[in-house]
Amino acid sequence: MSWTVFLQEIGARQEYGLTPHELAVILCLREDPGQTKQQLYEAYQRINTPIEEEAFTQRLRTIYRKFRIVGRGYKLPQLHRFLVQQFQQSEQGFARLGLSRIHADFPTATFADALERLLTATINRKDGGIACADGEVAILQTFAPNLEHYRGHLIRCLQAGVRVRILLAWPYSLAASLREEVLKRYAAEPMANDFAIQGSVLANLETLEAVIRCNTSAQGLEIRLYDTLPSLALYRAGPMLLAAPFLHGALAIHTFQLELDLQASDTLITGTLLSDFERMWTVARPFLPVPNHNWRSDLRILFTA
Amino acid sequence: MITMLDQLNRHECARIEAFKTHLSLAKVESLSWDDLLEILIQRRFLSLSIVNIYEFVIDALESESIKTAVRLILHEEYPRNTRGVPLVSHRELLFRDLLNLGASRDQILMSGESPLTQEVRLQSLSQLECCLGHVHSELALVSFLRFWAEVLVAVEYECLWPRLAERLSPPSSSQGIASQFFYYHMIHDRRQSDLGDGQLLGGLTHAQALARHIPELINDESALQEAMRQVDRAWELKVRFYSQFRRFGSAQASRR
Repeated sequence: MSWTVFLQEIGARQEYGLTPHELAVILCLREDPGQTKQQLYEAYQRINTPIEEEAFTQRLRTIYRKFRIVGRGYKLPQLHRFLVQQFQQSEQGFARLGLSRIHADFPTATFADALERLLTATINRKDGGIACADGEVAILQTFAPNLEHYRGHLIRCLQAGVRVRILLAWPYSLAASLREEVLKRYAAEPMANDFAIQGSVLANLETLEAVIRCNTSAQGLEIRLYDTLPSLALYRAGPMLLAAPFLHGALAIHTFQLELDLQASDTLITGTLLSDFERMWTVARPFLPVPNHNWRSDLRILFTA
Repeated sequence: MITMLDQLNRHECARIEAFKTHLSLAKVESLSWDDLLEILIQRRFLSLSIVNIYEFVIDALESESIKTAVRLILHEEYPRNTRGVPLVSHRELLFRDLLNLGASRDQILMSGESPLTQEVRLQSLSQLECCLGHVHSELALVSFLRFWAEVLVAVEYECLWPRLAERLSPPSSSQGIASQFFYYHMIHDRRQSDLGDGQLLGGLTHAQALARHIPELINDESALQEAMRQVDRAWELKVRFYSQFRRFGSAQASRR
């Protein structure tokens, strides 16, 4: 529906000045690529008053001119690419890609709300006897400066049976040191010079140790650490995902965030981000900060043992 | 063409092999537990002195980047949580491992330092003074520190581990009493790779973290000779330390 609505909308724009007959041709364009001129002609013939092929070709030429399709080679694929590009940039296109909103920095309350919705949905589904398949919490960060803020949520999620996966940088990796150096040198953050990724990851692990202690077990909580290059921050609560890049000038939580809906039909963005998370999850190594255990020594040799 | 780093790498590997041979002369595999504990209790005096060695090097170094690397390693010995609360130090973990190996508190605390252990400990500190006052001071300091306090330490524990494993388990094992000191130091102190071998993934052992600063300091033949000399001095001191226990091996042999 949205493609057809989009075609009607763009065909009616005054700047292109299409006639009703030309608009009728546009409405026969399919969204997926590869439609030949002959197929387009046949589609047109099926739902409109039949016309000669020569007249149809002439009508198409006018359409190309009006849409300023002037590149070399076949014009129909160029027209198709142009319209798809316009469609993706239109409101319907963004929604289809799952892009709900863009935040200037990490939306603390929005993520808390998403966690609450996930909790409610999980508890309701459990009451109905249906397991919640994709209702997980997942965080990918170098270190998560806001993890302590969500400690209570994490505890309640685990108690409700929600799977929680946390993927952080191994604090002794060269990649983590490089990220630290970059932030110290370029970040416009207050206290930038005092960034210490080792200590920050340790603080996250202490928070998770407290979560395990509170729940008396690590059931449902999975933590892995990676030694590769951090490039992306992801925060997932069920069908909601926040994504931010690691820029030279700021912490990821102080960078713009894409709020994405994982139920979107087009998985170009969401699928790419989730599969990168899974790739990192595969190469990362499991680690648990077991309470009352000397886990700092285990952490130190995680990648050298 | 054999580069200067190649020569140093070969020299180090040869010294490590010779050191293992020397340790095998102590016949660790057949020692009684009393004799083994005596070695470990004397060895503890060298572990305690590591802090002095590290502090001396930090004060003596001029390069801020090397100083930072050395300081990071030293501070790992005294961990704190991120709220600043001091946690059990590596010295205490050593004490725990010794208790778990069967030594008594009195045995650890009241067995005095043997004259030879004391001599090795003091000569190790004065070796650092010999590193000063010449053009290759920085290289000498970091070379001696790395080989004495990291590379050979890991080799020592690697040679001792088959015996220690009779009473301690690797931390990953769910059975037995986990080693809290020896096992970790065997892993995170070790040489792991040749000098000049860069790697971007994985982590660095203490020996590797110090090794990163060595290639840039070896810019001529005299620097190479200095680095080799410090490797030799560290080796001689450690060999001398273990020579006091040869009597155990020979007593064992004569009992047979």
